Amino acid sequence: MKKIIALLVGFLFIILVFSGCVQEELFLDAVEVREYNGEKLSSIFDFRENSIKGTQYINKSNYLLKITGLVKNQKNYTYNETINNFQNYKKVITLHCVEGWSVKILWDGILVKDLIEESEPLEGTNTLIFHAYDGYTTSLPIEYAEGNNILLAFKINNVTLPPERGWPFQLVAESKWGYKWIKWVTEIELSDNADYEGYWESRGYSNNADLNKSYFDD
Amino acid sequence: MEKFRIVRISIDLLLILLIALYIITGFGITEYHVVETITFSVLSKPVSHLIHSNLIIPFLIILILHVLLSTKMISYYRKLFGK
Repeated sequence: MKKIIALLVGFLFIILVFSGCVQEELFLDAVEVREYNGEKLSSIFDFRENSIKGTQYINKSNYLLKITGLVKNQKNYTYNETINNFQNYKKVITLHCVEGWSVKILWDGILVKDLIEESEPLEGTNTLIFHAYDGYTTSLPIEYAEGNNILLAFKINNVTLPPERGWPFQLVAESKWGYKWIKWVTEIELSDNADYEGYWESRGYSNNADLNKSYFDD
Repeated sequence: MEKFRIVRISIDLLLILLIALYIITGFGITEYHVVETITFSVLSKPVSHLIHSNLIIPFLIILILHVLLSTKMISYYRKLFGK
């Protein structure tokens, strides 16, 4: 009998550990919305933590979003300047991770193209390199960001991004695989190096990262 | 019959190996920090992903072979012992 109980307990423990049913403890500044314009949304708690160095906690008082590289005017924006000086937009976009999970979320943010236009990109600039607080990088063509009205989000389901989800900013790289959705963005570098490979791209994942293609195809 | 037995055992061992590889590369995707450390970065997340996603067909072939050979073995013993 003892053996059976021990086996059952062991089995339950394994299920608990590997099922991912343990919910993270996040501090949210509001109640998240779960429906928007008739569309059901996923929860903030449905994400899986898979960042390269774990959650990053950034100090708001000395945070600056830098726009650097091939621009006429390099800019540094504080958190409040970033969200107040540019028009805010809302979009419902699904994040698809290469690990197999996905989340449909309402994102609030500013347009990346508004940010970079303010800095006046130089001729020949074709790539945006995003840098994060933890050293993670990724890149996207400037045409893609401008043509698709790509957001730099600061709210998720109507709640300010918690550190676990990328406070202060997460890129909403719609129609791209999840590894392009960089969190904890600190710098946007404009470059003429279209072949730049970010953290996962340099380790084998596609630089293109189109959702309708395999994450190994370029 | 001895040759058949050797083939069957080889298929079984290969199936065990594939199952183990399937599980390890699966963890290599979701728990890549741990797997990369244990394997000295040999099984990085993209490598695990590549192996894991290409393992399904060999796995199914070996699984079918395993089932077929086991069925054949059972029918052989039934004949042998008259059951």
